[in-house]
Amino acid sequence: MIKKFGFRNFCSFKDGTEINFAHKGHTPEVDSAVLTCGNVLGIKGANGSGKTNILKAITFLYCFCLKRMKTTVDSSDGGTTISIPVDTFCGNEDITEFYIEFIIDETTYIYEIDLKRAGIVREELRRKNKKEVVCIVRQNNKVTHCLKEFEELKRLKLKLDQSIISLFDDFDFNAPMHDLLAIYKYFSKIRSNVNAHSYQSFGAGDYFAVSKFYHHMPEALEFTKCIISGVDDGITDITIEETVDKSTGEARYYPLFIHDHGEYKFSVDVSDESMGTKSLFLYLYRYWMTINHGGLLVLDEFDTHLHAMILPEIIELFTNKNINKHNAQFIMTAHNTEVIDSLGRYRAILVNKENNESFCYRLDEVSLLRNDRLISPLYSKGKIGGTPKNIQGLTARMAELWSHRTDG
Amino acid sequence: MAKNFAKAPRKDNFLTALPQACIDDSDIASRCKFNFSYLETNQIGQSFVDWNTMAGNSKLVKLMDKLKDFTREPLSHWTQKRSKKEKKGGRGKRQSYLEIYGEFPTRSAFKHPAHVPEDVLWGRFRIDNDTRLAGFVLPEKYKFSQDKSANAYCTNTFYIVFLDENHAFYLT
Repeated sequence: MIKKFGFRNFCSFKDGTEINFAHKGHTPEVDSAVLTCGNVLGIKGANGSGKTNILKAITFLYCFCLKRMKTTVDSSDGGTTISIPVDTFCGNEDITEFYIEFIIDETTYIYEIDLKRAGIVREELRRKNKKEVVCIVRQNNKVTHCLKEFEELKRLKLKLDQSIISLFDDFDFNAPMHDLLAIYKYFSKIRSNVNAHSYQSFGAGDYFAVSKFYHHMPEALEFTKCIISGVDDGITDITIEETVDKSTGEARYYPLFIHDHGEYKFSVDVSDESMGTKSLFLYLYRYWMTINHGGLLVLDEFDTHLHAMILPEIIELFTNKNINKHNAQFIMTAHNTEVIDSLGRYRAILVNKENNESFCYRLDEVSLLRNDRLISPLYSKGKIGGTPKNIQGLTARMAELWSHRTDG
Repeated sequence: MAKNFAKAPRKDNFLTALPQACIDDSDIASRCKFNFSYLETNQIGQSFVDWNTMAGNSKLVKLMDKLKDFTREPLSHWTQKRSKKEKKGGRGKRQSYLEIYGEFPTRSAFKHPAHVPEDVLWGRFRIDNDTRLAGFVLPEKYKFSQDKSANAYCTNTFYIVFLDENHAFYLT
């Protein structure tokens, strides 16, 4: 489980920022009794405040460490050069820093990385059981310090765009390197709908791909059916139909939504379903995978197309210990306001932007709030930040401008 | 040294500037009040004008500063809190800031004004060595009770009747 992660000089965050899942002294006992970390963090803020950039930061960190992104570009001399696609604040050339603290099987790991577009400058991995030890320190392309069990790494000339976490995937080491393997597996359990350019939208191909997944994973389909039929009681079943793509000869899958009128049943194609149903059909498999296998689900605007009353139920998928048995974690952004009350102050983060610099805070840092008081009324009044600054009277101001226009 | 971005100046400045409490969890209800509507200036005491004679730190300014301090706490706090030793080179008697005598003092340079109810509890607030605010509070039995128009009586208000710069309200 992630305890916390931090980053600096990334997208709209110029200064250091920390996102903390860890419980604190005032966390209600019901949530803190079993775990030291929370399972859910919700992020709210005005449009353009930098909410999504927090999700981009954690997604970047995970994906970069797994080397799942293209980092080379053609150079003027005909060769290639490293250009790590890291978005720095205002495109500056300074170092971008990340760190993450997480727990795997009762061992706490702290991983830090400093990098520039041209490559990794420094990495450090520490491990904490009873006491904290530095496992590996890497400077540029060399491991400069490590525990004996990682000694083999010192002989390598590392690629400047390759994290030590992903080395396990490229080399056969003599030593077992249990820690690197565990971390590599842990980092691979991220499911995110943001990429370097922000929110990933869906196309027709995604329906086929997701339907194929459901076809091969009936348990996931049952999970999705259960939730979709709870949201739209007109839908009694979802079937995954199979056809053949004539151009490739490959099997292609698509969903049909079965509605029951009482006297007769009829099926509805996905294109005629509501946006909420479509959204749930496309996203719920990610929830199912994360809950069943553990790891981290990262969703930007998870509330899009969904009724406000559905959102607390989705959050509870992660907070209900009878469902979330693998300590899966969920970090998301939302525009819905009521959801902030479902989250509570220790699971809600607000993002503000001043002078084009984003900063954020968890709501248990706001003295004004208490566990037994609704957050949304104070939020809506603009008392705790995270709201658009100039939205009130916008239309009136525009009407005033337009009143001076001459038509025709 | 381990990275730690939990402390961020921009965030901290923002959070520090937010209101720290709602009415419900503030101590606003316990803070005492002062009421000047019974002020009597036709006896030997002084008026606001009399206390506003000096430029800068006039006695009136001092009074306002004192009232600001006093109103941070309930009246009960000031009956317990004692002043520093000031008189006679620090060897003087320490007095409570608020003394409630009960009846109007039998030895006083002042007289009970006709516009003050007869059954109030008289007392004084100490401003400095010789300066006092003489006035009254309501008896405890009025706590939580209302008048005929449903206005709540307040036993946490000190009603100022005399500005007494010569300590003449309670003569020993």
